[in-house]
Amino acid sequence: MDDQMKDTRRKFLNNGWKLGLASIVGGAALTHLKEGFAFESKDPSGKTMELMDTEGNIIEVDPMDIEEMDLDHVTHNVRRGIPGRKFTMVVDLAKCQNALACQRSCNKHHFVTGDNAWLKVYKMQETEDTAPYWLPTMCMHCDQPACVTVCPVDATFKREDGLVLIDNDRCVGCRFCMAACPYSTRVFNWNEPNQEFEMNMDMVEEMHSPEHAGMPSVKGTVDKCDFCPHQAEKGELPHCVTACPNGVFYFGDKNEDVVTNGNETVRLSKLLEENAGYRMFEDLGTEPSVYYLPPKDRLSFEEGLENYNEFQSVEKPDSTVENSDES
Amino acid sequence: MSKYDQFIKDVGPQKFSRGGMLWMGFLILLIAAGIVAYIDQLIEGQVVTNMRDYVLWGVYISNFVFFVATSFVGAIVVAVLRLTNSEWRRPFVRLAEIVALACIIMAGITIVIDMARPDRMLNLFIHARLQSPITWDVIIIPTFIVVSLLLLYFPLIPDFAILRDHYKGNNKRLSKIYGFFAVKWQWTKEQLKLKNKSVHLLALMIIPLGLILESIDAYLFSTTYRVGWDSSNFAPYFISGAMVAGIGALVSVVYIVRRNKQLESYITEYHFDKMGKLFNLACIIYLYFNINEYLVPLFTAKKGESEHLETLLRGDFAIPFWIVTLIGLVLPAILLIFKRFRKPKPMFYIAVVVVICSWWKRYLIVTPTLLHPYLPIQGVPESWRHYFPSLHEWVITSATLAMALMIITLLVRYVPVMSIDRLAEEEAERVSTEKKATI
Amino acid sequence: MKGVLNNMHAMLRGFTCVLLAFCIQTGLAQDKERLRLSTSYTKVMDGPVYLDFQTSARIDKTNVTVPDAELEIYYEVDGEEFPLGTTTTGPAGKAQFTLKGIEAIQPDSTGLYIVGAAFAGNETFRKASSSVEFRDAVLSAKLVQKDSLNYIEATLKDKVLDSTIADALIKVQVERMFTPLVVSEEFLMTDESGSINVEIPGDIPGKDGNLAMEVVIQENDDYGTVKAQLDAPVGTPIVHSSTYDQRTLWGRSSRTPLFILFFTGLLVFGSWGLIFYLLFNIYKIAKN
Repeated sequence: MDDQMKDTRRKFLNNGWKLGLASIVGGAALTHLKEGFAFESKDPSGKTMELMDTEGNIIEVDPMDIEEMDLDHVTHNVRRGIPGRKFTMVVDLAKCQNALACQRSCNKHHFVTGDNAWLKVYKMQETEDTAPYWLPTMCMHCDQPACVTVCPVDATFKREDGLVLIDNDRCVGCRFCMAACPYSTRVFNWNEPNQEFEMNMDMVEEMHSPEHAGMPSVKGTVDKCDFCPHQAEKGELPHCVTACPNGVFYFGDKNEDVVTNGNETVRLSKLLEENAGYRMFEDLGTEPSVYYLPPKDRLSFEEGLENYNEFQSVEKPDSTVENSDES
Repeated sequence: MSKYDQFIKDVGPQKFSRGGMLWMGFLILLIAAGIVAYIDQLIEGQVVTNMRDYVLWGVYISNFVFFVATSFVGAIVVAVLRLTNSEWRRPFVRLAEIVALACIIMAGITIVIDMARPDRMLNLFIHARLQSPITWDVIIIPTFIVVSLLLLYFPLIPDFAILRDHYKGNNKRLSKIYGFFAVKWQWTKEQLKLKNKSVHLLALMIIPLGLILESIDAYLFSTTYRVGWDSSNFAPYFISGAMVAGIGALVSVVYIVRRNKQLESYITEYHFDKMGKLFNLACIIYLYFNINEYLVPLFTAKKGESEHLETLLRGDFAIPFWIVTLIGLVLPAILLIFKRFRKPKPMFYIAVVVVICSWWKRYLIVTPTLLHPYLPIQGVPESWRHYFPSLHEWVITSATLAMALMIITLLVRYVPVMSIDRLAEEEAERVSTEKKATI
Repeated sequence: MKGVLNNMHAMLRGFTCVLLAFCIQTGLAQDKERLRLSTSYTKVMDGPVYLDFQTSARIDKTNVTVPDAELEIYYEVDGEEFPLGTTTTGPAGKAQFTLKGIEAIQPDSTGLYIVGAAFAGNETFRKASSSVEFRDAVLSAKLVQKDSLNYIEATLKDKVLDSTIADALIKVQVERMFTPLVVSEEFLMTDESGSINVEIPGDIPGKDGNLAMEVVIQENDDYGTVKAQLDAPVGTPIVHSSTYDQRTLWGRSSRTPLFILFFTGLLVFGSWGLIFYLLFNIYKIAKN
């Protein structure tokens, strides 16, 4: 088995960047050639890594045979996006009660450890006379993104499937994108993020991709909501959508004109028409991909006040509210 | 040649006095402290500053804007005044170019300090996106550094030649160094033609480049949606602000050098009077743009705008705003109308006040806007609703200012602060017209 | 008398031993957690049969799923169990076993199928098993076009009895990326002849105008879940628009708008061209 692996590896290495499939130990793991990584200082001597294949078995694989996307065969270009899709989200403000399950799930699955969550639920009240309501916001994945326009190094980019993602290997930390975003949705890693992963760091590094933001976060770069393409690839909904107990978030492909909140699956056009859907700051011309349904006939606002913390959006292990500077 | 000797003694390079050594020591100390603080910033990350997700740009950026603004003085004093044939500019041009060069070099360094990942600086060139205003900055600043350097260098060539010849007898090493920079200058007709053509071309180049530089600096802000930044007024506002800050910096430096080297007969009250009038004009134009920027929007009082203006005019930033505007702009604009205040000493005080207020003005451009995003500031620590630079930021910023002063000091030390070649020419002309008169 | 007492003593001792043994065994068994196992059956017409297993347990008053549980799958005919294979639950406590078709298992003489899974138990959990009973149903669905409207007609029959099945809950849905879109009315049931007739709305987008449709009997008590899939090329074609390949302000570096390319090019080549000319002048001065 080892000799066979050594032979195939040599063949691949000699042929440059060819993709290949091989099955190991009954599971279905892929061995790709790491383009460019072949020159990195990974020693070719029998060091192996433990990985889990798709059936839950532990297998040992030589790190040199592994490319970034490990378990599933990624057919699309990470910068271009999932073909034929246009991801859209609808947030039903009439149902939001500030349960914050969405925020907790997002923080957990993206290992957010700073002081600023990527998904924030605002306590909004436009004027004294109009009613207060809860407003969940996340990256709007605008079709005319101001953040992408101003990035000097193409670290944040707009894809064909509508997503705006961040390559945190290229970001130089100028924060111009943060200045440009009118939705205040980007956060910055001012210091080394102290994330704790349930898997070892080698594996995290192998899975490192703009499609799974926060895995890992990099000091001196920007982070934000990614609309969970790592979930969409598996045909699963973003974490906030599944976590919400009130069915506030709907998600889907605009091309299919269908969105779902996990329980209801509805025509997007019908949902927006019947509920007078709109987008935030439409007049700025950013063309966001998130629609809001106004809080008409909604459930109580006051109940959400219990959960409301003006100064905290990320739960810390010792649950103390950060109120002072770090330095 | 003996005709140069007096000029060399007056405006040429002099060894540091004890005061000069102390001054250099002080600057070196500040710079060393800054380097230590910067290394700490590299290790710990920018968490050592007080910038956070809302006030994401702070004193590093406002310091950068200040340096870009003051570097405009070369374009005005050397180029614009040259193209308008304003002869009175002559005593100022060398120092103007020195100040401009020092400031634009420091602008380039200061912006790198603000980058959180300077180790990835090459990405700005390899993966450059031309759509981004920062990329335009990456293009214009090196270009402007080179052009400023050339505009300083070309008129210096004859002076280097003069010094080369002057030290030939008694200081071989100095003569060789100056000789190297003099590139075999011998006042031949060819060389004179080349130099004059080059200086003229540079003067023509540096004006549009300077205007573009200041405009790009403004575009870093006005290409965003932010209230207080999203203004079509911003580019001319920044250009006129650069004129004020630049001339202020120049007058401050000129006065000190004049006192230090006793150049009262070279840079006379007449020259200060003329420069004072230009300074006044710059202040009045800048005042006009300030009115357009801060008072006119009150008429429509759009929600975001009015909140922002409220903060500046009556709220948290009211005291610094009014000091900077009244004492740093309105007062100088009024005082400089009167000849009494266009004398060297009063102008020096006015200039220093203008420079300090210019620095704080840029702080007021950057920070208050960031504290008024479209969505309310929630879900983050209370300290994130305020900003005042941290110790690291102050130390590093002071180091950049010290570095700018050090570049100026070193250039003043080693380079004639006025063109000896030009002075000798003028002297020769004066003598010949006198002779003609007596005949 | 003594004999009787001795006998009673022995019986009592024996009884206590048995009682003790029983208590110990149940006591030991009490230390292991109870594993709940559920089985469900899905048949795709002209396609595979899926057996889905879900484990769960109640530990420390919370419900958790149980991964890494090895299940032995079997089918039962007239009390006799025949093995089909094994599978292990994944990280979410789920496992799926696929059969090529329903022919892989045998029904009893009435046409009733019984399929189940057994968990042998491990250090943490007691053994458990679960099974499901169902009859084989045939769901036939076809696309009908009438008066420029499109309909899905479907009929449900019992395979063995060859009779139609009335009043079965049925739905017609269009395949979408995450969850299917149901186009039939809520609580639709097959009529007396086991059929339905559902109109397909005319404005549903589909790739190249094709709609991948499904008629589904969901978790029927007698027949499990039965799906019939068919393509209905009656959707509106999806036109995917994106500015990805256009020259825009937010495009990638190679998609810079032309006017920006022009002006920055002018700036760079213009000024640096002149700079090199000036540097050349210095060289000429030096050469002189």
